[in-house]
Amino acid sequence: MRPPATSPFMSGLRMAAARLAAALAVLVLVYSASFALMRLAPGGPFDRIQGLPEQTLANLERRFGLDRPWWEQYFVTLSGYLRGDLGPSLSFAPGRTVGEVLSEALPVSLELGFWALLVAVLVGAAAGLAAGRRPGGSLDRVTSGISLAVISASLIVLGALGRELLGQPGSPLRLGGFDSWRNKLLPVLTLGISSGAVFQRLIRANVAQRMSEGMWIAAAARGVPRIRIFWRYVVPSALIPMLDYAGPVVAGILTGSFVVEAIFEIPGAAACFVHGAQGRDYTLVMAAILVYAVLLMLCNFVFETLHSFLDPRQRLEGSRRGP
Amino acid sequence: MSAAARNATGPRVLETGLALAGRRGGLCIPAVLLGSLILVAALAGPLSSRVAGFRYDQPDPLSPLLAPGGVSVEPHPRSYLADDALMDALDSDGDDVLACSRSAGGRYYCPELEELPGLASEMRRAFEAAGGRSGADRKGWDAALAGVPERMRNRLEAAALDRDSDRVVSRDEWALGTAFLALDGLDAAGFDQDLDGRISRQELVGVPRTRTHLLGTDSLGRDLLARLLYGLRVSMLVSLAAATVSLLLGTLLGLLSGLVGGAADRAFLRLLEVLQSVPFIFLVILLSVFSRDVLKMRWQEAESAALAQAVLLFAALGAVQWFSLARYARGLAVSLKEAPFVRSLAGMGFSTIRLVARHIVPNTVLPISAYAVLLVPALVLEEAFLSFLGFGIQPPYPSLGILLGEGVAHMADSPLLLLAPAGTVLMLAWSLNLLGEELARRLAGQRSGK
Repeated sequence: MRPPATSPFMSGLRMAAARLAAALAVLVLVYSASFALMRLAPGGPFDRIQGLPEQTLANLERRFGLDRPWWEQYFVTLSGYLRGDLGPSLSFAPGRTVGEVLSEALPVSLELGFWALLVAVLVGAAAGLAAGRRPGGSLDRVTSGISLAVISASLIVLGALGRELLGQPGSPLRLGGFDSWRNKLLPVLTLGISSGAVFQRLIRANVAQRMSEGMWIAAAARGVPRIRIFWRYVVPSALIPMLDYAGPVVAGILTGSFVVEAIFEIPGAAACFVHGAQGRDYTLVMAAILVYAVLLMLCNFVFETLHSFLDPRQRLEGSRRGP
Repeated sequence: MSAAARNATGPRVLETGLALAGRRGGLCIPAVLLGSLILVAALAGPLSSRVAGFRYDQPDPLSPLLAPGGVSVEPHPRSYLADDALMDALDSDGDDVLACSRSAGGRYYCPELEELPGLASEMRRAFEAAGGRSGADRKGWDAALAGVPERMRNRLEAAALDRDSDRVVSRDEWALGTAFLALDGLDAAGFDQDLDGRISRQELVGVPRTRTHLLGTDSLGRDLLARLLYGLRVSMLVSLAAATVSLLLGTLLGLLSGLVGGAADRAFLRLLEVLQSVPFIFLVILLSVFSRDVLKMRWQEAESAALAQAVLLFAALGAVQWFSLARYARGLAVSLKEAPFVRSLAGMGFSTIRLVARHIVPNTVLPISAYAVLLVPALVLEEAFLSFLGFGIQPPYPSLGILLGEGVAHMADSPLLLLAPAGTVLMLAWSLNLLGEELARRLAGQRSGK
């Protein structure tokens, strides 16, 4: 059964529409799940305030619409999101809007994530290529051993060691905040190296597998220089499929930023979320989740598009699909 | 696609799935050894408190007086709680007897026993108020000693706090000396052997203290070794629970989708793609906050609430971690469905049910179990991560993540508090990873006929 022949443009458009619909459905589901989890939990955003008179509490709840039935709150918040209004922050930063809070915190997290991803890709690709070129060689043993140790040690331990470096007298590095290279360097390196270790393993396995293919022997026999085989043929064909793993690695960096922001006292969005969840700041928590969901989807989309753009095999597969 | 090309996808799927395989044959045995060692330590429940000699959740009675940082390394007097110097220091009225009154509940109240330990905690407070952090901090100790009245100073010296009489109590002296003062949390009744309501010199001196903290204590005076062993157990338990959920979901759904094929299979793949872009970590954190409070209301007892929450939370964690496993299982099912031996069996008229049950599923067991072994260390690290942030295991239970968090917070006081759990996590994850990779490697070798 062959799909009816259409122009590539139309089928691309249909794919994009399907993707958008799926993304919107996921966003609504994520929103509903987080709404349910937040509202079903006992306690409210004003529990932390000691000795609050009952009348004041009632006023506060009325002020933020928390006294309305849950389904009304559900739709009011949702329609606010559609208008781009993320609502007021309830307990994390009273008196400010979630939009303000996130617009301060999010760039910090994004910058941390961006540099970390860069470090991860550079370190991971270099170490992975070095290891995969001669599987079982000494370079492979050393780099693969290090990357396994880094993965096993967990980000927490790496971060703690980094923090210990900060504590040394005479160190130019500082703890807390995220506004100069002094307090950016270590968090970025910590997060980047721990994600880079994952990349190293993936790339190493992929390169090693490619290198074991028989066609390189044939190519070498026909006089193609080994350097050219490796850099011109093996590396691109082994690296481009890595774009498939970029999505999960970005998700890993996102997860890791929770730990790194906690250890290095960085005022990022993950830290906001953690405090917001503890203080039942409904609006802040839900907005943070949705923003991250959108970001993650965008990242996945970009990497997938990049993959199909860079990899001719992907494009061929699409047209060859069918029975 | 030709049949040959289809068959070629079989081993490729296998190899990509097992892509993490390394080439470290010689390390298999140490990995197995290490893993089983850790398993024994982790699974032998009663063993953990017996090995360490302390419970994981109870502070050592001496803890209010142990040196800041908590590690009590007491070289020689550790086996005896009290000596004559202590009796002299405690016995403020000089009648050679510590007179006590008994309450209805049988508890002893001995005014003379309260005085010195009270002073010691005062000193501790002054030490911390002066910004003293580590035990060797001279400024802190000076501040602590300045608050001691002259009358008591002599008795502190008598209690052998200032052993070298330089008017500064060093960290070692503190650790050594405060053990003698540490009668605050102890049940004084334990000393009163003849039950006459008075503790005589003979009764006090020479009471042996047989146990010592092999790894020291944490900041609350709890034995680190006991906590480590117990925490290892908790971590293993919840990660195995999570791995089981993830394994069941991933394998069942993946195999089913691969075997059924067609539109359902394509829809399943789309679903996996979509699910992989959901930031589940946020939802798991929210679930943690939610379940903690709900369960706290259901169970009055903190321990069962914490355990129930841990199991629930990590089952949920497993329930959002099965996507790549499902993809792998699906790939296996597809390649096996098209494998020549299955096709020929089908041609010989074997029923579908028989093919699936006897020939396809058994062939997926080994590769999937190799994959599953790699799942456990990842979940151990996830547990550490969630508990570190305060969203995982709840007190009173220790876990590797909780211990790491405490270690990070108190690293300056005692590096061992971080190094011990960090080393344990490293060994555990490392050996499990090596084990899984070795399994995968052997399997891949076997498949390709090496």
